[in-house]
Amino acid sequence: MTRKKWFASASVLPLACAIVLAGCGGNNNDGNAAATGSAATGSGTASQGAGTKDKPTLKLLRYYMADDYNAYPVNQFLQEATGYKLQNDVLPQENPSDKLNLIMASGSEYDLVEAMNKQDFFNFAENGALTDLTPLIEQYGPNIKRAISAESLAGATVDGKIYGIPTLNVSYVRSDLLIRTDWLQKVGKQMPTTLDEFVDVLKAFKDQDPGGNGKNNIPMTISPTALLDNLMGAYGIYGLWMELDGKLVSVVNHPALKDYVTFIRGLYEQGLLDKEFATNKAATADEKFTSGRAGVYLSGWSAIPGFDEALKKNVPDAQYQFVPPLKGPDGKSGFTKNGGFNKITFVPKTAKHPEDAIKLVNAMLEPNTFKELFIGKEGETYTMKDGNYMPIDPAFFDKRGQANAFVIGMDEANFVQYWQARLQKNKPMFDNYQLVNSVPEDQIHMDPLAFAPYLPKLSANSDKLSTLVNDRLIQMIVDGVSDSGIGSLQKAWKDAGGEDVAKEVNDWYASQK
Amino acid sequence: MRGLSNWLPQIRRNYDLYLLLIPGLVFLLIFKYTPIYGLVIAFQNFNIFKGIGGSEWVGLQQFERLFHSADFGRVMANTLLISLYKIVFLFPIPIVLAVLMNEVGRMWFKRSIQTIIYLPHFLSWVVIAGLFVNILSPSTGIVNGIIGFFGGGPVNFFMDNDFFRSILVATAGWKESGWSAIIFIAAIAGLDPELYEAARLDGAGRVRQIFSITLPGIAGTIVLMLILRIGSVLEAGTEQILLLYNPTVYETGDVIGTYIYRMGLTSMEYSFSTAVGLFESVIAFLLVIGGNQLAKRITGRSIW
Amino acid sequence: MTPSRSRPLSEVVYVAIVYVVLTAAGILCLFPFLNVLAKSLSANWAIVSGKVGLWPVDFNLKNVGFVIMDAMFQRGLVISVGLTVVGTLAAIAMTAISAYPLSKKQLPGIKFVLLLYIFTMLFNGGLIPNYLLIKNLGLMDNLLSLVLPGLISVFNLLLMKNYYESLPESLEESAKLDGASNLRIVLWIIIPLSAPVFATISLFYAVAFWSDWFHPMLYLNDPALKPLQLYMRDVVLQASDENLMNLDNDLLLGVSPEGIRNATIIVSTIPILLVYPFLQKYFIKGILIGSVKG
Repeated sequence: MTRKKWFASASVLPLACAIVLAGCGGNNNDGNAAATGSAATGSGTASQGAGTKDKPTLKLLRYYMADDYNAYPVNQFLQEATGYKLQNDVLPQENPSDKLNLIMASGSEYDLVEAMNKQDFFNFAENGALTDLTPLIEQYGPNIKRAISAESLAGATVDGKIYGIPTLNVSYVRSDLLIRTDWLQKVGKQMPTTLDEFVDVLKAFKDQDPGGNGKNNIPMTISPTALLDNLMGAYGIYGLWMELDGKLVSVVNHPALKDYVTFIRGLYEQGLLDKEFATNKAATADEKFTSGRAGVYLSGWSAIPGFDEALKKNVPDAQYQFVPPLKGPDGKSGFTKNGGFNKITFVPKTAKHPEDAIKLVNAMLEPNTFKELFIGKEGETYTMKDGNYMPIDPAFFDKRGQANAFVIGMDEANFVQYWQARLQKNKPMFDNYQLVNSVPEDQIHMDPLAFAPYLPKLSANSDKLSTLVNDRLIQMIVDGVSDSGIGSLQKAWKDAGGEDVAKEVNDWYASQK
Repeated sequence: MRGLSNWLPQIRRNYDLYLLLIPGLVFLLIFKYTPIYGLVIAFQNFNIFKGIGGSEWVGLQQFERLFHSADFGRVMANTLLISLYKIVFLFPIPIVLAVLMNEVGRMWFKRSIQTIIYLPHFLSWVVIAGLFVNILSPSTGIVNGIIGFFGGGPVNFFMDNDFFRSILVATAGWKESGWSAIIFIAAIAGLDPELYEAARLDGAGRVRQIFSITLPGIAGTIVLMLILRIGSVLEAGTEQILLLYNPTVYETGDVIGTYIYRMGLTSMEYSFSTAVGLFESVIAFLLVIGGNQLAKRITGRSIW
Repeated sequence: MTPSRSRPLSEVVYVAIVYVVLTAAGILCLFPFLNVLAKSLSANWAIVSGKVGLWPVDFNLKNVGFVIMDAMFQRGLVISVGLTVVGTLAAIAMTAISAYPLSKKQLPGIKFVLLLYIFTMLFNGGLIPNYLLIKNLGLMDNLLSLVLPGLISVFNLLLMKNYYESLPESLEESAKLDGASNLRIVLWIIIPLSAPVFATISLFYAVAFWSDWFHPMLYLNDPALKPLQLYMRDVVLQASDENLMNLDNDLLLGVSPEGIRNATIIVSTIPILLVYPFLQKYFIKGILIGSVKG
């Protein structure tokens, strides 16, 4: 028994030590960090290669990507451009937060760590596991201050201290209904502009079977989701949360929810919506569209390269494009725009080289370095055409295709333009991306919580609540809509913590004005 | 005291047998019993940064959270039913397969079938779920094609609460039966061929030999496997169900594992997931102990 | 085993039934594998649009070639093979030794030890203490962290113990009369008689070491140490339903095509499939206890 206890305490000990040591870790490092600091400042940005000897190897903990970070060309480029040798370790693809927690709690030696999840980042900050970057950025980060806006940095600030480098995401409309325009022609219809016209088109798809699919004809298919972009917009619903009369309201309490679900239920009942949609896997839904059986498919533009080739092989004269915003019964319409931070990168308190970590980030955000890191060299990986960056295939995709995984902080003024180069890989994707992202501003509705700071209740419950809402709505679409059904959804949502989240979200929202 | 005086000479006589226990016990101590202190976080509100020493003790609160969650009754009932169906329908299949395999004389046939039936074990549920969604699809699936051929209407198997549990049992059986048969095939291989020879001389037919020699010969293995299987009754196949179910069949298909997953309680809720695990362990422990006693009384065989 | 000339009709029918049932089972089990195989040899467009059944469509070896030539795959294969061979050998030795005393239930204290083992089968400390244990033993980013904790599977131990118990007592007794020590009995009598159960548990251990992705995920951070299964799981999961919702769209541009996913499954499963036919003769032959006795 006593031995067991001894073992147990021996294993708990490091946890405690990690916390205690965290306090003194900074002191230990001060000596050599100061030395390397002066060396790096001396050599300056132009002749960084010369300083390599003095610079330590930095250990980075990265988010999962399919390619090997250490063998990817961007890593070589970064080592040459910044003079630091970089050792990238990788979090697993599944449940990365679990492992990140274990690593952080047991005393990590990493110099820079990425969190894809705001909740993790703020959790670490609150538990004192992170280095305060404010003085370091002040001293070593002129490029950081120039590239990253104050608003973005505020998103990684706790109690007035900057604990992380936020990497902004591109904000865009992500998905919409793809429609087979050759089917439209065959049934003699125009591109629908209202819900009624849309239903009319679906009926024509069903009755006239323009694809010649017989009993396998599907007017419209979707993955098992209930809140469908564009269609929900026609009812003034733009996602899980939206502003109504100055307050943030969850979709479950949206006054038009019942009408919306009734509408989708109607499509399902009339056989206009895939009878099997609830059991579709992403692959089965893709399959229905690419084999030419479905006329309308809800999809993100980024998935288009995945099935464009297949559709063209199966149906050589197939044409398709996104449907513009459809007007609903009250004249409402619109898309939902997503955005926010892609990740937040931080320096653990137990890091060995905090100053160098910030110097690395600073060097990466030097405008030309950032550009070359992100899209490579003109003439080698890209060319300029009409002010757009055009990728050179395959050099661009081999050398810079995964570049955004390497970025730590964005050159916020320029990165969207650079980023679009990768969309040019596939023309249908680029065209459709343009199509949904160039509709009038008033038709595009930004997710009001995209840039919200860490809201503990929201973070803890948002996945659960969105699963609950989606599940209940799918059940209603399949089994029928009723006031009591909506009522029980609202109750279940409330019981699952929805009310608390609503309060938290609104307190924050009110404080923003 | 009398026990002890009886023991000592036995221990002395077999001291080398006891020495053989040592490597295993060292292994147990380091890799199994050292980490077991972690179970106490089931009674805490564990914060990984504060450790066990610094986290708040909450008594049985985590367990109450499980038992009082809204759908606990339904989820528990589903778990037990699905597990029970799987035991009743699937436990005998590998035994039957092994016995049949033993009846086959042609070596090439025996070898090929053995190699083939364990293949599905190596495919992940992600792959298998995709396959079955296609096979059972109401519009294009082959099964509904056959039903249609005989004049029946299409059945949407994955959205029908009447069929969903049957699908779970059937797919699990299909994936694991061949693999599980290996244990029984090996057990049969260990039987003394002389026994069959003797039975044949007594004029026992092949079916009689199965019941008088093969089955009794592997009864120990059967009992062992059954007891262990019953112990895992609360694991109804979380990964499988997660990949096969959808909201329309939660009523019949939602089990403890999937429910907890959907509620987002698997990640970071260390205390809660440990509490659920501990609950399952205790039930399993009781069932294994009970199963062992029962087996001892009925068949005279037991694990210990 | 040799067919006799005059079989009664009932036996012919019986044998026919046996063959039919087993053939049906075989076909059922072969089908999905053929499907994955066909997909790995088909063009991506044909898979995406659901055209591939049991036969490749637009046949090509590009997917398989791509997987085999991939540096991460090759590295993973070498690591996995090494891990499996070393782990299996060590685990068999450990299990064979530990199980023997447990089969002597009548000896004092043995039942208690057995219960100690069974207890760990049902109760474990969970993720965090296990992680800390490995970290404190200095085994992070070390392949031993995958071998050592897997040296004894209690399930395999019980199988082994069960088998030892089924061996006739008379064997050991006669050896004891000849003055053999327990150790000698294990090494020279028991182990040579245990071919079928050795074959079984070596298969189980090999498959367990081979298919383990969870512990590598937990204990390895250095991507250069990734075994094959972790690599495969990453490739296969990349586009699965649950993950689609979480991943940033940008990252999705790197999703591997269906053909490559299926090729990865096939290529990384085949090595372990080869183990079984190799061990199979020990299942089929049976053992001739009589000959040993004499």
